[in-house]
Amino acid sequence: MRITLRLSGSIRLIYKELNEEIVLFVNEPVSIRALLQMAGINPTVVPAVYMDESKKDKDYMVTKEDSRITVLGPLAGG
Amino acid sequence: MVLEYKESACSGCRACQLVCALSNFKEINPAKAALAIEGQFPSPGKYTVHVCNQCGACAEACPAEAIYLDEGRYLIDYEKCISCMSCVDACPNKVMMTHKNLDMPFKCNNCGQCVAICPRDALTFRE
Amino acid sequence: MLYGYAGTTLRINLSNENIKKEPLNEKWVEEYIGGRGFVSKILYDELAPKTDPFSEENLFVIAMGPLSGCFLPASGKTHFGTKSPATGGYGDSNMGGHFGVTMKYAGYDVLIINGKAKEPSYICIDDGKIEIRSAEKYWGKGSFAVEKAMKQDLGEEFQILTIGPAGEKLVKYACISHDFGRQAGRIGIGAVLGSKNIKAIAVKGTGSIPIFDAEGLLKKGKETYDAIRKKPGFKGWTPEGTAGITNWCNDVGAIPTRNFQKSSIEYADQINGKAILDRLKITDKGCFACPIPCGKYGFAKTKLGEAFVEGPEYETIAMIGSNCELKSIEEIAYANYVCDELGVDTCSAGVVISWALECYEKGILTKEDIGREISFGDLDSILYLLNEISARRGIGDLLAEGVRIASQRLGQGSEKFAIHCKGLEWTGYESRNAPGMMLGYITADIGAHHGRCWVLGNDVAGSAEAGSVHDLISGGRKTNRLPKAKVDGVIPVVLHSQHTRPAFDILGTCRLQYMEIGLEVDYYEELFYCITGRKIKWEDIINVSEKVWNLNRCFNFREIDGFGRSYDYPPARFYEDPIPDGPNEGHLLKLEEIDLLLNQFYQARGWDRNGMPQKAKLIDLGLGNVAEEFYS
Repeated sequence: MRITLRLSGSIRLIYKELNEEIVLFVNEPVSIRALLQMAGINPTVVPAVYMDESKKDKDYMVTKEDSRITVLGPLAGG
Repeated sequence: MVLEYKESACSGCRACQLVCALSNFKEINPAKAALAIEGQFPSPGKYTVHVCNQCGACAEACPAEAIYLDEGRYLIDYEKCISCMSCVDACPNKVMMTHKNLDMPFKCNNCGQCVAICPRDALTFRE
Repeated sequence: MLYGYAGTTLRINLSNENIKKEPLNEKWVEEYIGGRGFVSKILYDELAPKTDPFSEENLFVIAMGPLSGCFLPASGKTHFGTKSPATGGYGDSNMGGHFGVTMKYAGYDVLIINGKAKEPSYICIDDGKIEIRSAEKYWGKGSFAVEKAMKQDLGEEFQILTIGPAGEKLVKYACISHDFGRQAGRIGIGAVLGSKNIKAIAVKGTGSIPIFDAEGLLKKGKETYDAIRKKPGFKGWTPEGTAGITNWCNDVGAIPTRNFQKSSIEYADQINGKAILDRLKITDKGCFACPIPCGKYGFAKTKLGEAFVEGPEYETIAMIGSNCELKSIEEIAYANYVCDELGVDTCSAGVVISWALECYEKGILTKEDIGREISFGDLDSILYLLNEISARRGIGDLLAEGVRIASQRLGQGSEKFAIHCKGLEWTGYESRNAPGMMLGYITADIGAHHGRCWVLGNDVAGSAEAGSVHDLISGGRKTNRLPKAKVDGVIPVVLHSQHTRPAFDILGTCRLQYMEIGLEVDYYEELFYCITGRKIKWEDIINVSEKVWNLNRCFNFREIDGFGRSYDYPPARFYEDPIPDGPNEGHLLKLEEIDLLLNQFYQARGWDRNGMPQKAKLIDLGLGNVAEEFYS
């Protein structure tokens, strides 16, 4: 199963060596949390992930081929 | 094609005005944009974008017959315009525009730059 | 021809009503580019040393950058500068909205105000026509009320900035408000305007900004907007804006609670971004040219009142919310509205009020001192204090001085939990287990402000130490407790953030397109060329950032007696009391760790052990004239 992680600018300010898109291949359903780890991202650093235009929990199990997951980094202000 | 505003979609950023003036006048100057954004704050808290729907009221009002229909949009023939500004008063959407540095009015020519740039997809063309 | 600039500096002396337009100084452009760079240069060069912030001689500066108002995403930040009444040192603050770009369309890159108007006044800028007019009918009124009234009086096409009653009363954390919900909040910028008897500035601008290559800018600008649309996070950031971070800050034990006595809460879901969407929001409200508007405008109803309000942003959620223990988004939003209307910074006000609440709990302040009973979590107590502060009535007169002076006057150990640095109140991030964030706060030129350096994510990732990015602190597991963050190796991360953030302030754009969405800096280089006709590399802009940091540091050495290392420490609570609860339970940065951080930081910056920029460093940065002053 091919899964693409798409990293926002804020996460790449922390993990500078990671590309904007990371393609991962897995054989069975897998949690977003585990995917983040596979990519070398500490899940604790990630405030929000989006899949299919909606916010998902990091324990959400990804089951679909060609899933695209947007990973937001922490950033605030105001 | 008719330019339309999708209710409640605008966030008031004015990128449409920037691209309109830059595209049509080659200037950075939202005061020379052919569409207007109205913010109603503090209450009820919403934006409305006033756009030209090419209704032709300007052409009807023009005593010099300077405004003509061309491929679905009304254009101004500046050779004929007499700067009477009758069209400005006649426009029901208040988008026959004027600028203090211009002798004659200007209007939307359906170029579509605003539709393409709007990050909110608040502007569309209806066939 | 200076492409990209309006080309004129407008100077207004309020005392003698002298209004002067002069060509924009080309040396400023060459050396400082714009925006915050201009602010820094003008304050250093033109402000007489040791000027009292509330004296007629203090300067109030607005400065825009070359990219401001141009066709690129989020080119609408307005920069303000003055000698800060909160810190006595260098002060700047910025806001989004539409004011500064309109000033630029009116023909002015820079506005410098000095003197004091004889009576309450406002400044009206109508393209080339400048007038100082009576503000008698607006004086004493709230920010929203004045903006609305002025738009009715002058016309919708005017952009307005105002101060509230707090600015009139010289509350040292009074803000400037604009566009029904945008503020330049920090350093008491609103109080300086108040000290000059200026209630508001209105501007209408219908002119053009000269562009080197208009066709090129049209093409590149469109490409830039298109690129942003395709970026990961384009759709994820906007829905909740800054408030989207609330749960995360709680999860990593960084949310200030009860005047930084604790750092976690149980009610995050009641005060987060989703609560805003579900319970308050009417519309997204964007700043000029911004494709990812973080402003959420809505309506809040509480038992004590209801209001239309923009926000709350995360900082307000943290400082007025959890730090004062307000547990519902409606109550936070309503208190946010009251702050905006009175014209006080929600960050500083949150710290001052939570400090007063803690003093009251500890018996340091009594019912007699306060004028009534007060408690954490009680909206009525908070609104009461906000009103007393803004009127400088009763206890409000002491609290209006800011938490440093208030705690020094009150004593009895209250200085230990007066949460500020250099006299500027802290903002929304508990940093006792975040060494990079802590260092960012304590070394920021304006005092404890998050906008100068934001590396909390790096601290949490444990990635601060070079090469350790795969050292996943929790092993990826859900964890209730974080290990102690690494202190070694945070310096380059902090310097990177400290230099990158001002780069956008100098150019005159919002940083979030880069910081959040990941828009590459190449776009800025190319847009800069289309607009100005001058080639620039990102490193050149970063070099100006470093120059600005050093110039501001020197400004503080010049203006503040005894300034130096001793001004770079957090309040004692942060190095004496471990965090008592939550994911960071038991952690703190010991004084020796802070000293180590400062030593490493000064060394990396080319500063001496007292934090003074060394002569060679100043010369290297093109600040030879400044070196002369300090090292002759």
